[in-house]
Amino acid sequence: MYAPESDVSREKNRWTLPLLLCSGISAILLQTTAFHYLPWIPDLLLILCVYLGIYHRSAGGAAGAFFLGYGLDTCSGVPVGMNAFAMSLVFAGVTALSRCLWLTNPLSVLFMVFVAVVLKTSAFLFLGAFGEITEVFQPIVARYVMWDATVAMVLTPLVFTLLYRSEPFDYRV
Amino acid sequence: MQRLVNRHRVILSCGFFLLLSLVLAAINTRATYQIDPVGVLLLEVMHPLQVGVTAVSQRAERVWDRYVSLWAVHEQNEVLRQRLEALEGMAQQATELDLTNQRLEKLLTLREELGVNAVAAHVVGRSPVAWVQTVVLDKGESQGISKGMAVLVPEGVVGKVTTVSAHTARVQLISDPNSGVDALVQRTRTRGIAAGTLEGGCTLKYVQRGDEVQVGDQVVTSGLDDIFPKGQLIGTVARVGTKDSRMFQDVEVMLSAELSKMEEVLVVAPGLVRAGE
Repeated sequence: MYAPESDVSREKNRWTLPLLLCSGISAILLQTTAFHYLPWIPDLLLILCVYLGIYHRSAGGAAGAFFLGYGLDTCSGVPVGMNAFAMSLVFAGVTALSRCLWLTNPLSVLFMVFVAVVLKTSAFLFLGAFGEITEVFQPIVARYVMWDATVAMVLTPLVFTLLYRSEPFDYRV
Repeated sequence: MQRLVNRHRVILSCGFFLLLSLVLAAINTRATYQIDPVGVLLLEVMHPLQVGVTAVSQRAERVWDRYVSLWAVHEQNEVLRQRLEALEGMAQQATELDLTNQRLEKLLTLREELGVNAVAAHVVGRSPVAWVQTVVLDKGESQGISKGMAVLVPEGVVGKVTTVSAHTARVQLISDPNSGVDALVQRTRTRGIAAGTLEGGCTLKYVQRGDEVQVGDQVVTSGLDDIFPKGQLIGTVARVGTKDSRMFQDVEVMLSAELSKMEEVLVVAPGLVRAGE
């Protein structure tokens, strides 16, 4: 009754790639255009990376996180690699944590998002120090990290529900 | 080796992408130009989408702004309307005060002209009956007003006090049919009695047929009745008529004082004459 594991994996990938592409492009578009009218721009890509880290712990997920960050770098004018590094770090961190944590509880997912925001912030601070542009990034990132986390956590249930319902598989662990 | 790679595929891919992005970031944060191999292509792909989304979101923002602005305008309109009403009220009050001031100033000038201690009073009531022309003043005996005193306004004669109480006085207007003021045609010194008519006007009675009276002549008080100071304007001759069978002329006088509109008057003691005379 069950399909072989390799077939399931192929099926998953076949479905995940367009979903990831569409949601990634939509998120980048929203973040770089429409959300500029909001008082605070929610980081949808971060939530997407957390989603990948929890439900798509694979090489494809890692590549997806990297390209999401890369796309945001390209469209937002940030030095290329910064968001890519941050999203890759978020993916790696969430993947590592989700192996240890029981993530059926929505609160633990929100905690994961908070951790992701902290990881992204750390990545920016690290790269800022590395690129000798700490003065530019450090105050901004440090000041707004709590806001970033709050907005992301508020939007997480919505984004997760949308993504989860778009997928034909039950990935809950 | 293959098994090891397969087993740690996720970790290895994470490490690979982290390293790759780190290298890219390290180079691009220091380099003067960006090393972005697929960025240009991605930008080209994203460009029409960004234009579309931006246009839609701008339109939505404009609609929202107008909607919000409408609310703001509505509230502002209410505030401004209230303010306008308050200001209109204040302007009205100011105009009223100005007019009152002008009237009182004229009254004061008249009192100074008369050179006596006259009492200024407000008209607080009027007779509701058409054939009885009286007004009620807000000053009475306690303010020095007594029966028989003359009542004047800067424009001319008003009437005389007929009834007086402690704090009010009733004035019989010159337009009352029962009133009578000894008068002169100023130009020819022709004498007569200015009396009211049932229509609320005034006629100059007992002007003999041979006396010269013309339309436009001014009629003033003679001062002989010991009530009105001499020379106070009563009105202007509006019509002169002569019937063959009658001994006197019909002289219609248009009163100079607007009796129906006056608000303040000056009450003068009988027998006083113009200052300097």
